[in-house]
Amino acid sequence: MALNVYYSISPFGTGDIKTGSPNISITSGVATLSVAQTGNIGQGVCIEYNSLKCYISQVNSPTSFNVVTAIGGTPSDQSSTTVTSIHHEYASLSAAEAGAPDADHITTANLITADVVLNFCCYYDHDDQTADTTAVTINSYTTDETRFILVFTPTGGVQSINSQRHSGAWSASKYRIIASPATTFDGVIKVLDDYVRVSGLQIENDATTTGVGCCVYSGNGIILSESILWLYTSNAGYLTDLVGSIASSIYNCLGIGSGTGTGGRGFLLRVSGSVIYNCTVYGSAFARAIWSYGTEGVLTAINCAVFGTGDDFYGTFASIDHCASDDGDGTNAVTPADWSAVFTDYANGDFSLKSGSALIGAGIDNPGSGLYSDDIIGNARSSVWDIGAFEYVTAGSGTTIQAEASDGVVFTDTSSRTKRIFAGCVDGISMGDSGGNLAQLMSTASDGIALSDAVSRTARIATIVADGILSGDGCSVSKLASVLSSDGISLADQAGVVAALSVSMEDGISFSDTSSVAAYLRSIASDGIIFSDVLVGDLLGIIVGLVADGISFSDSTQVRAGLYAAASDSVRFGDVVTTVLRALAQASDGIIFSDDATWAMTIQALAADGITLSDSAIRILRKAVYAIDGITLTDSNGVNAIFQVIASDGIEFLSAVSVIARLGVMASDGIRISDSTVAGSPWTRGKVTMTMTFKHSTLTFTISKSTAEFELKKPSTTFTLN
Amino acid sequence: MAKIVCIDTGTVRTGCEIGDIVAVHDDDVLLDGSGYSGFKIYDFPGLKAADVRSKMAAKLPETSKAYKASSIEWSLFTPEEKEVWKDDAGNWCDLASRPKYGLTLFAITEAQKTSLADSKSDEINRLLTLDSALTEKIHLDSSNLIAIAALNKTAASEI
Repeated sequence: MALNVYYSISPFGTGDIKTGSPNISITSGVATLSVAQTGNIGQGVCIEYNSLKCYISQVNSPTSFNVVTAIGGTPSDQSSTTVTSIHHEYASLSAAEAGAPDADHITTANLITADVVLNFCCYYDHDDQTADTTAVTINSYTTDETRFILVFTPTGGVQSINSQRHSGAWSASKYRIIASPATTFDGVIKVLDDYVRVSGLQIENDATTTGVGCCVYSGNGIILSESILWLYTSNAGYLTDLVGSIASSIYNCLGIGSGTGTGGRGFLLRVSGSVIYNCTVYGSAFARAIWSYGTEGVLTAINCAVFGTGDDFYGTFASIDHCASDDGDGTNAVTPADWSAVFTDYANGDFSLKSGSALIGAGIDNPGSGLYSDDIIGNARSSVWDIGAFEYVTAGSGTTIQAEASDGVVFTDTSSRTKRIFAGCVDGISMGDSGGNLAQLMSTASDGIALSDAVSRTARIATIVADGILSGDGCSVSKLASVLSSDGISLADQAGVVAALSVSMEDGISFSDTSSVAAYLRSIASDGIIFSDVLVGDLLGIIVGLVADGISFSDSTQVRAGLYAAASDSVRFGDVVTTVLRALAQASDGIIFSDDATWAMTIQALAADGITLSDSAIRILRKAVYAIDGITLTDSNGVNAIFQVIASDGIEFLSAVSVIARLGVMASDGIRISDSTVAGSPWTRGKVTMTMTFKHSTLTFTISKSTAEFELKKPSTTFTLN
Repeated sequence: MAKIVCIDTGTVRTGCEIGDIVAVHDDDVLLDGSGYSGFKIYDFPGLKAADVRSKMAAKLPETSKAYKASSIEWSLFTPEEKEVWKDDAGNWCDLASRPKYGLTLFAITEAQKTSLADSKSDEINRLLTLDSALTEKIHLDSSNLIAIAALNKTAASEI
């Protein structure tokens, strides 16, 4: 039996992604971490410790992982020691393909002699959702039917803490690979080795510029499944071109064609014996949606739905059976009169089946003879199978519930889907939902969890709580929430989207949001975090908070992304209509932003006493601040760019309508700058009056005209002083 | 800062050579640990990954698919097809062997490295330096240098 080796890929890079400062112990291939992990961690992620490393092969819980060595073996037992880092192995699929055979990994590209299955586990960039933009060519590996390469996205559960896979619709917050291959012999993913499998990816062929190539080109057989392939074209390009001498299989895939052109191609297969099952293809960009190349009838198409294209099925097929299309091609054809009655919302990318859809039960069972039994998102197919990538799941059905509790578990759901719930608690779990989807909930609680949602989807919630969680949501989508709390968490959202929420704290977190979007929040706090946001368009993205006392946001209509806060006392933002991007805040006493209509970008603040920004309508760009006593900025309508300030006593800027750019200040006592009515770029025009007070002297000067670049360190060389 | 990941002694194997460009990243992407120990990574301060990718894309020659088919006789056989590329002189040549990686930095000089690493140097000049340091690989394979006379009389067409 071949061993499995796992290497993870994330466009985030190889930076440390561990939660807290855990210790690791390993016994017989099972690693136990002393701190629960909440990040994008799972199969293929590398754990480094004691100058050693291992790779996660299975997630048992946020603190327990099966691990293997770089060549798939069992690592030596390890008594408790500090984890150096937890990180992804590669930043691109291309680098993984090139690097996996090297001396630090399998040591050979011959997977047969190594006797391994090579798993490339693809994770999304949790930091800024960057796509993998490098096309990859997989070749020069030696493989067979049992020792092959699998490229996939972990789906949560035993594969990863957070799901990395799309949920059936294209998502910019999941792993995706986007490129523009040049010719039809080229692909975003080009496979020249045998038996390669690709599962659960989002692959975009951006053919609007130079490319006319494919999402996937295979020179010798491939199994492509559960993936979304998108051709974005002005008039050319392919979803696939699968050639060679080994037949290829495609199933449970979604193919979408968009753009201004109508000359694109969909799934093109050229090898006799190739099959395409349970796929959905849509888009006017396709002149030919599913193409059986040649005159001998190479392709069998079963249970596929094709509509809104030029020619649904083009070429000579071995068979077209139980397919739905505009043209009614093949035997047992289904020809819906109104496709909007078939799919939930195909115009917006949701190709799941509506209740009463003409595709429900219109296919045939098991066309692949055991090749697959689920649909594109993992729902089990049931007799008689549906046509298309999605199997309709009857409302109210529930599967795979495992509950261990000393007091009780109560599910009072109506018309909901509840699947893969693992509940282990001392007191109880109560779910009173209606019309919602609860998927893959893993809960361990000593007191209780109560979810009273209505028409909501709560997906992949991993919960470890000592006291309780109370969610009173309406019409909300809460996804990928990982919660670790000893006291309590209360979510009172309305019409909000909370995604990738990871919370670890002792006292409490309260979200009282309305119509907001909170994405990828990771918080560790001992006292509290409170978000009292109201109004639409509120994006809280990638907030990582490590706070001893508290963080409070009382904002409205804001967009805040990439906030990293570490403070022992408090950080408060009392902003309105502002945008705060990539703010790095670390303070022992406090940081307060009371801004109106401001843009603050890339703020790095480190202060012992405090930083106060009472600005209005200003832009603060690339501000790096380090002060022991304090910094006060009272500006209005100004632009402050690239501040670098280091002071031991204090700095005050009392400016109005000013432009201050590239200011680097270092002083032991203090600097005071009182500017007014300075417009434009400081090195081309404007007037600046500054008073600089140092410990032993005071220098006051006015710049009436300047022709050189503003350099505070060298005023005499760049300014005329009056 | 742009980071260019290249094949090095630790990752060279059949189908690629030292210097081949595997990926390009911006500087906020950490490339560290055992995953990248076998690669050579060039750091070019002041350049953006998007600009480097754009420069690389422009360096690649035009390629197309060509067909060998009679225009006057019907046939039950699928027309033969092959991949072709256009050389610097504008001639379509047989692309008999497409390189796995289209570009390489194997010929980069020490002076070019110094120039590219100089953050004080003008960005446009450094992109020009990068352009001169890049070598596209199709023309390096002698099997790709055979011009196809018939194609150079008429333009190739795409299916």
